[in-house]
Amino acid sequence: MHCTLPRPVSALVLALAAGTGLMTPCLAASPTLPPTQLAAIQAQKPVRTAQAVTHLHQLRNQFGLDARTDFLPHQVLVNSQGRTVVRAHQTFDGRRVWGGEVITHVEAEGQVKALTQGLRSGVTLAGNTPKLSPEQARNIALRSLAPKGSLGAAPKIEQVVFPTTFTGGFATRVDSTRGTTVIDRDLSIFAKAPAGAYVLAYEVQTLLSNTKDGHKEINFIIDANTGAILRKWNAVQGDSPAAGTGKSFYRGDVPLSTAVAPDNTFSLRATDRGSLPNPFVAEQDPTAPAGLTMYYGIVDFNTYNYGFLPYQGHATNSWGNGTLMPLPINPTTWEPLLEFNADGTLAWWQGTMSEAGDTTAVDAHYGLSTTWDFYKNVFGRDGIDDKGTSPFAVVHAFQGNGIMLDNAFWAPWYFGMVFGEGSYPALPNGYMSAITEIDITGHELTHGITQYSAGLIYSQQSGGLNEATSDMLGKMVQAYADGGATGTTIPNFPGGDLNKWKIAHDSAAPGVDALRFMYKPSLDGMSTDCWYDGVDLLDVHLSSGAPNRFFYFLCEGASANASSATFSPYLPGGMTGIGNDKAARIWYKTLTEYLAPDADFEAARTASIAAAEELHGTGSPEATAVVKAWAAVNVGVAPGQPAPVRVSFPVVHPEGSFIDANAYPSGVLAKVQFFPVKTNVTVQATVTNTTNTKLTWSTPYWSTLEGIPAFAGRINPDGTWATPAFNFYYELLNIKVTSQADPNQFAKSQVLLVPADADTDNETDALDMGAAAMSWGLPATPNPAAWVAGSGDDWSIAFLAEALTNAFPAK
Amino acid sequence: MRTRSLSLVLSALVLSLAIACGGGSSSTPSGSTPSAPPATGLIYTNPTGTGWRLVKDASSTPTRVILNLVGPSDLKTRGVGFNLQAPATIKFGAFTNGMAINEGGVYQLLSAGSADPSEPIALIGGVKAGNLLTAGIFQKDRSQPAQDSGTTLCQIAVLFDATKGLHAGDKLPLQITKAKVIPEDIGTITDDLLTLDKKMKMADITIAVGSLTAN
Ligand SMILES: [Zn+2]
Repeated sequence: MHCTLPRPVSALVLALAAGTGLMTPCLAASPTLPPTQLAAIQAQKPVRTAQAVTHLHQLRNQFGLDARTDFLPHQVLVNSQGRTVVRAHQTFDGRRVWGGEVITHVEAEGQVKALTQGLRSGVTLAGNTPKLSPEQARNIALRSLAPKGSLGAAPKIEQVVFPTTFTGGFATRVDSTRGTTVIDRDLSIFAKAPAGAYVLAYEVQTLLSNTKDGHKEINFIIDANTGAILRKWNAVQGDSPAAGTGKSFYRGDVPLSTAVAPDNTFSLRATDRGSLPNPFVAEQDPTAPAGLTMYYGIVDFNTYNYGFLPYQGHATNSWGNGTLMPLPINPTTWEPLLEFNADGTLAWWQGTMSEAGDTTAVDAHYGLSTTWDFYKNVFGRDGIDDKGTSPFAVVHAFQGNGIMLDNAFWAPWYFGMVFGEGSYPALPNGYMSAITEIDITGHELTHGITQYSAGLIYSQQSGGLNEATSDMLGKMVQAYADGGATGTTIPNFPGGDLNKWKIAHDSAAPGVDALRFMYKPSLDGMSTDCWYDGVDLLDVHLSSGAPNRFFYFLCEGASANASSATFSPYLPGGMTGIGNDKAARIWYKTLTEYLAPDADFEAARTASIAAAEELHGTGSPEATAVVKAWAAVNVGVAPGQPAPVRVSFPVVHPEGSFIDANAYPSGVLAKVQFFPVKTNVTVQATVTNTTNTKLTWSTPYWSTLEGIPAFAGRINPDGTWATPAFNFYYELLNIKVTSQADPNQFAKSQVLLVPADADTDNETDALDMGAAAMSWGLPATPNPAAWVAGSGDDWSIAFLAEALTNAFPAK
Repeated sequence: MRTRSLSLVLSALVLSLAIACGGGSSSTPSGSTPSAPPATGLIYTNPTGTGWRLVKDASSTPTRVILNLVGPSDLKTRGVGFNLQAPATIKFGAFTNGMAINEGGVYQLLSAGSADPSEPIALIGGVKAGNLLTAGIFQKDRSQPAQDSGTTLCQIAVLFDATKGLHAGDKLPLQITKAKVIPEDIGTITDDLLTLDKKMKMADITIAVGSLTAN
């Protein structure tokens, strides 16, 4: 596919100026510097940033990079040990190399080292002038976006250098009604991977926020020479798998930081949290003041766009009444109940400005203020971007068609957050009450922190780490609030109170209990308790289970009692935790100083061990606890444990193939196999680290809930499988294979069954490719069976080729 | 357990019956004399005629016979596919593309104007159970013109298998069980579906196969 694939500079993961290793033996804990010294180093940020860049310039040759490569610092932080952490985009001829990142540590005493695992070597471009204008690229993106309503803002367009190995392709999503994986046709694109390893491209970011499209932030990579859409993804980090004084709903009476206007009215704006104005708000209203602000959702009936208005003009400075407003839906007609402004152009949910409507804003304002304070007081961080930029939150938000949102999300375009109304208790079978519980507000704001630190890409293991980071630190915000929301340390939860380790326990409907269970994530029936081969195929809110459980074990320990919910078969002897404060500091350091955007669990393990050793010393009980907690989720091994049995599926779509891609980094779909229906095929898996290579195959199943068979027959012990008659071309079947030597070791994959009899002659063979070929490019076809991928395009050709090649190898 | 072993026997029976009906003698080489020496290669004799046919390519060796699929010289087509039944005593070979078919360079496999080597193409060749080769090469883009068929459109490879105990003179019958082309006229994108339904049909063809003999 490509002559040379761009790869990270693997031999130089840690390039050190002084030539000494990072993991030097007997490393002592780095001391925390006094405030005066830290302030002095803070003042030197620009100098130290320049020093970092100079250092990177000197190392360019060693990295295999030429003078056209440069480094653009985008995030600089000084930690409590006085280290300046400079995160820089890799650039080529002044353009950002997509996904290219280098982290430089400038120590208090001035030593410099670079963490280069995110750098991309061997960048070259065929030409240096794009054939397409930014406007043409925007139009291509908008045609693919096909908005039903109007754009929420003009698209943002940036010229970038794009590594073509990330081209593609085939996207999947969880069908939340059934918890099963299906092909995401909206985000799937058929990209023709360009021949070169890098191409000039435009990144086009779009915002939709209206009654017809809902809130979407779809981003595109457009080849600047051919106009091909090379990638397409959703930038919103939602929380669904499902997803004065104030009287709050969740936390009783709470203090609120508010603002008073000259007319003596009050607004839910914390002037002491956020010193720079919110950039999105400032664009619409340059006079809007800084400070964390609460808004409510509105619809503009001139444009049908969503918008928001601030909670202001309040006669008193006491807010809310501790109850939630009724669901603004007519229970018989299911029509939304709206209130309008005088001229009828703006509407909001009925009850939004009532006392009960204020209650939700009170919870959000308190929760986000406390989150802000948590980062400020515990970690010395000035808000999301560490520069004091003001975030905002929208409560009572609209989400298309009057459906009340059981969800909350971080919206990068807004530099803000949106909190759903929740459908419970208005609907007896509702899922969540107002999604403003403090671990959720902490979770969503932490998505912003992650965006402005490690930038963990929101898919596969890096996405699982992103989600887990929000759960972990959101949970720590709750602990901080429980302890009074003051001081510089994080108290523990009461020992043994597992309810404290449930995400959204108070807002989830009683029958739901919680969104996620950090101490045993699989209790939700979908999340994973551990790493396994294939964990990348999980939605990021489900793969987060492994790092979530790691963090629980690190804080609270693991039981040695096999019947306990906090027992891990991967660490049967159990372990002792190190408490919330130490665990949170290790993770924050890992996130802000070590993790690259594409980190996987293994990289997170290495990074968090380094962070623990820095804070507590090599061989310290804390560093050992980190090793054990990872081992307890099947990542690495604890001291004294043998190499574990590993089960894995072979890669069938190599890096850069159209099926593998459409995710960063590529790899997520590399193991998904395509087979024709009604055909004898063989599924393969490999076992290592044991002489007993016998395997047990699951019955293929649809849902992520194992044990719900898909009536797709059985896979025999040798992997042979008579595939069933099955024509859900969009549906991926899950398969699981378990080692008989160690039943705790398993792998999961997915298969796509292709209805390959495209010419409907009751025989699957090469002639079916002729029928698919004849239907290529046709918007409709007399023979629907010829569209084996649901449309008459290259997808059908490729699906058929994959399936036939797998079933009928050349012998 | 009893029921299960019974059904195994039954399916084995069905399988052997099917092979018997297939016309090829799969295990006992036919036509050999007890005194014939062990074979070391294959001999392919081209069929006669000027229609669709499999003819031996000059690059063939005694152990790897390359067969070119050639069509009538006055016919324009957009693709061709066929199934070829071979006895179990020979193997089909793969080409550098990893498939049991090699393109002849006549059909335009990429969409018009594309030079993208990673574009999916409608080229497929593999071996089904029972040593049935299934192979096809098709133009997908109808804006690519139909091509003259009177030259090598694709290739397949037949391999001598030294483990099968063949003797010189053993006949190795090759039989085309299905063959179709995409004709020149497959309608246009502006046709109504009824018209397209009539025109978007692959046409049956007969491919003449020569004789393959162990040597
Ligand atoms: Zn989240």
